[in-house]
Amino acid sequence: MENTVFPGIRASDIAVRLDGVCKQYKQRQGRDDTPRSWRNLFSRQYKTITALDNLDLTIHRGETVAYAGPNGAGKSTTIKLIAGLLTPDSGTVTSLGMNPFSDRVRYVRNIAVVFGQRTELWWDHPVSSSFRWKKSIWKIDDEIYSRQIGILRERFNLAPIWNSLARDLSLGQRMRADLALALLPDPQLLLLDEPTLGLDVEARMAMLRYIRDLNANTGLTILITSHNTSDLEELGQRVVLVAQGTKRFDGSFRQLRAQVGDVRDMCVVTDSSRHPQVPDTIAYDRSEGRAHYYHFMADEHNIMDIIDMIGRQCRILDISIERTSIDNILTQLYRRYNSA
Amino acid sequence: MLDMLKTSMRLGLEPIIDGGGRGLVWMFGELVLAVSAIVPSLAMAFALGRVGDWTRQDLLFLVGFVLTARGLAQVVGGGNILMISRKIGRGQLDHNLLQPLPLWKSLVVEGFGSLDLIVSQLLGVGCLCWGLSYVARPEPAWWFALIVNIVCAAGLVIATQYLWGTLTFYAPQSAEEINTITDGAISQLSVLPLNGAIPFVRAVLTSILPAAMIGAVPASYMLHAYGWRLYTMPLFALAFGIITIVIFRQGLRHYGKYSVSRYSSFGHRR
Repeated sequence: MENTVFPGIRASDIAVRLDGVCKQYKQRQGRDDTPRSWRNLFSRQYKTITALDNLDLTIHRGETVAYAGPNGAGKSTTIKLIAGLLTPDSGTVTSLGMNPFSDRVRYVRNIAVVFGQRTELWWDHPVSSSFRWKKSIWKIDDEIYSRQIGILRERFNLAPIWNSLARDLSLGQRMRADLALALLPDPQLLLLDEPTLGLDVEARMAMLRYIRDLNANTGLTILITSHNTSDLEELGQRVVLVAQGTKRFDGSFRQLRAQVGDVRDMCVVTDSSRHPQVPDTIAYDRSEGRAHYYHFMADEHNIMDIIDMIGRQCRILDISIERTSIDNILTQLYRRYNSA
Repeated sequence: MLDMLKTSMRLGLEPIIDGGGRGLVWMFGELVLAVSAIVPSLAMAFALGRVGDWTRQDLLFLVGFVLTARGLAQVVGGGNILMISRKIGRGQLDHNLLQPLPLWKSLVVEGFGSLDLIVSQLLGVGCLCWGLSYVARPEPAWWFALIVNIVCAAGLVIATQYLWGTLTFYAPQSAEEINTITDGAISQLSVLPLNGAIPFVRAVLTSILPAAMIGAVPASYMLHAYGWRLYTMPLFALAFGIITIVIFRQGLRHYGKYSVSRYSSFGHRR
């Protein structure tokens, strides 16, 4: 059946759809005036927090969508709504053709959710026991279980930790086992909420590699949130940016970078601790000893002219110019949204 | 369901089989706790000979009845399943809601076959048999009523915990440990006869904190009543259970609207 909202895309191609979703929370406010704090007993003050404000989001089957936003933007609320753990105040959430909250039992059989810093593993038991437990709860057929275990053990390198107690695993090993466990029932949709939280560099890179391979090899639909946007850039074909509960951007990372232009970061090390003067269109950031940091738009300046200008004021000992990080771009965008 | 219970039972027994002395230490700890809960009643029974119209043998039966009922509740209430306020307050209920099972089934499966079960059951059945050797009646109808009363008392233990645990949906931080308090109250108060209690205490112990309905009241009926009166407590348990389900579902709806913003992995999955 042809979809009327997204021409060329069949309804069955849509994995997740949020239409005009609003979600608010009430946050209790304390009184800083201690002598009058007893009044809290009789009249409490609440502040309404808008987690999501009329959010529309469509994720197609087989897509990996990076869901980014500052703290409190509504990322985890969105994941909980799609996981069926929360209901929207208004609007509709449809995932895999079901209402995640009211069709919970049937729905969760087809999805996998991994929350960073939470574990589905049985704490005092070997990793293998958690897989046996999941087989039984999800009623996975023996043949499918053997096949899945073979694939997952190899893909996530589980053999060295298969018989270790979950509580003895490092965070990186535990996240690896958790991700493999989530994938055991061969879900259609994978929701990852901060899967790299707290991981060291090596474990983080390994986790990103696993997720990237997963989408490439299986075509699994993945929605991933992370506070670390460079992680998201590693994975996402598409990025959705939310701020203050509202969708601010939906497109590719290349398009996201274009939002603020082709920004370059420049670090010049000179023989002086005084930073060299540059035209107003080049933003001076900071100095650390004799290293001076600037940002400028690549398409507005000739790099050689800048170097010449600085070279006339002092001796250049070293210089590096690189494309600005996605974190810097997002920081600029968040500032723009806040001021708007 | 049987396959799930079997898996859960295996997981519950794993620490004993594979865990060296750790499982035995745990069981010993549970035994000490179970014994300490009944010592006041037994000491009173043996020191005084009788309490009001309760003879030493009656008190022994009361203690056995309560321990067996509580042990039965532990059959499905291992880990933190009977301490549901901990699961809710620590944000751990999400783990159950992400399983493709109705919530009740997910909780039953998870709580089935813990180590606590073995200790409480052995002690409870031992005390009950000892008490029954003095007070049992020969009629099959009485034995049937006894089984129904024990099962319903177990249900009442669970319902009481869930009724009070519902508070945690509304106050996750403040009420996280409320089931520790209610469990302690039930375990200590249910093995005491009601003799001498003032009307207010009697009212509390036969309504919102029904410790007497788990112990003294059904044990007393089993000892002295006949006919339909043997089923007084099961009727109460049925009504109490229905009210609990209605109120708990209300709490769940609140959870679906606001969730719990805190999460602690402490005590998650034994």
